[in-house]
Amino acid sequence: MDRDLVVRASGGDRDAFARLVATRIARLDAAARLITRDPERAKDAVQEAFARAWRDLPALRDPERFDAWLRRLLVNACVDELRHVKRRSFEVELTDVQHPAIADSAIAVADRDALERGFRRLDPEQRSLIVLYYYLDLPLPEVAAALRLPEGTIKSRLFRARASLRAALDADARERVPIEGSRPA
Amino acid sequence: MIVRDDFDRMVTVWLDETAGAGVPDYLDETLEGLARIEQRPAWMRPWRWLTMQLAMPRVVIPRAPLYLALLALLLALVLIGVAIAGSQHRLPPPYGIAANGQIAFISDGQLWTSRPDGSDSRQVTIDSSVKGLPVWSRDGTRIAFLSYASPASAAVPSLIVANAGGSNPITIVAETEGLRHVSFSPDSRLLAFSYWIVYPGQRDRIFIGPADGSTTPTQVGDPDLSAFYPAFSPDGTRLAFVSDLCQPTNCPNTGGSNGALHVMRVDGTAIEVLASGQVQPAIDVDRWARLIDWSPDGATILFTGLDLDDPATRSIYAVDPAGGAPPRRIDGGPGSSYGATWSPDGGRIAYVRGDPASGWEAVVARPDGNEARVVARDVARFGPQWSPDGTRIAAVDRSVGATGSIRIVPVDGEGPTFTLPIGGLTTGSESAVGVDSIGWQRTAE
Repeated sequence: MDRDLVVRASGGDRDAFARLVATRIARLDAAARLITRDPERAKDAVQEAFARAWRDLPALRDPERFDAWLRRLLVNACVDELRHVKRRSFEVELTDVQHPAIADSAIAVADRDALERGFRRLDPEQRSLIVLYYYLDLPLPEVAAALRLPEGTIKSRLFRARASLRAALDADARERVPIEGSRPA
Repeated sequence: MIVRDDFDRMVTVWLDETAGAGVPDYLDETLEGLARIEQRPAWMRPWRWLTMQLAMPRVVIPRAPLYLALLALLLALVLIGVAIAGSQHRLPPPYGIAANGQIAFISDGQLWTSRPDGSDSRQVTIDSSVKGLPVWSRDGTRIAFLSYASPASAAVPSLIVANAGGSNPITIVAETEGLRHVSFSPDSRLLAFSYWIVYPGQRDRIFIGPADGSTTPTQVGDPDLSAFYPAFSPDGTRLAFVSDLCQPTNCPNTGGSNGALHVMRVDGTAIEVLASGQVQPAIDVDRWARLIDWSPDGATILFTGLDLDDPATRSIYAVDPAGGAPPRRIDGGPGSSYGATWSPDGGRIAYVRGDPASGWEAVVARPDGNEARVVARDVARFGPQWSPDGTRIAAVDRSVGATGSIRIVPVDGEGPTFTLPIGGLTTGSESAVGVDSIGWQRTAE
């Protein structure tokens, strides 16, 4: 079904592309918010990715690769937002993502905070890597395709990013031991 | 193979909870925006373009007549040169004091030139594309600028070089992602700039090419280093530039952040790190504020940077391009400072300081930061532009909305202040206007 939509959109069918957008925007927006940690920048990145996808869709040779290609455009747009495009005053720090209610969260609040801090220390590419692998649950070859890097490089970078997150969690746990007396499970 | 454990599951859960669910409220807005964008045919992809020279057939010419013809041509050129030498316009030196020429600026999306007092105002470009970032060559004979086919293609500008009056425009690079930061070599024959390449990763790389577009620009530098903001040294032998996302092998002691100031030979070899780690260039202002500037004697580079102990504050730092000493801060605050630039004679510097709440003011000081005094208030943060004769600075007024103005003020209080009205700055955002929104032509005295 989607393959037909991609083929039609590639031929200039705006309705077909609108359907592709409508079924993907939520997931891409969530991924972009995670990477950029800013809803406005995430919105800009998502819209930029869709704009590029529409503009260059005729050059996409294999319609089956549409989603992988779209993810790559999104990651590029997010990285660009974080690295260069400063549409707002620079002194304004990145704002927090609007967290959902976490009363029933499976993770301790302290661990959430530690993960948040660790994640913010990652560079844009590492954040993208974490989101693609853990949130979008892509297999390594798809992550490699999205980031346009060899799979071996992805493995090593994922290892380092994961280690950074884990270090943040461990450091936080060490700080909490004297207060709480034990490390959370 | 990577085996997922409890930690990995925790990360997944955290990401799921943090991301939340639901369709964003800008779906309709996105679709409306897409309705205004046209598709680009597959054959228009830039990598399909070839230079004309590749398709030219080779022509075999007998050598003896060729030598005679060349001799005759040489003789004719010498005679012509002698005949017209007296009538030629003299060119200014690439550095040092020169006479004030035309100011180039963008108004209503088009390139204009004007005398500083507003006289002789002329629209240089007249077409539907949006222009940006005019940069004069050091000899004042050419002007480079970016051209965006439409506001929707702001990410893929073309680089154009034209004669001073706008004639003979040549496209140096066409519709290329991330194209920015144009620097003329001191002899005005070369251009350095950066744009995105698509492999490996999508990163900035620095390119150098002839300003007459006669050959394809060449990528220079470390192929694994994301590099941008190239700036020719006054002797033309080196490029200063900034990198981000650098690796430990390129940028030791990065201290957890990722901006670095480098210098390298123009052939891309001998890359050195001048600032990284504790004090590093503020890479995220590079698009709209001047980031680095060589002193006219090539002995010092000024850059807008940050200290990891106070990463929210931007300051002006000076560093020796030969290395060996850490950067030294030369602005005194308070607030942040941006866009330092050397006066033509190297005897003073100008920059902008302030904060978003109280506004920004242009400051002139000695190169060591002493004797700083305000010469213009309520200006934008791009960084001031010195007049070639060193007596004035030009700055864009802070309000960069639908209309605005360029103020040209005497730095020593002698003489009138001029105001050039400008209109339609596309989006009104600083990133859309940028440090090179004003170019001031150098001419022979």
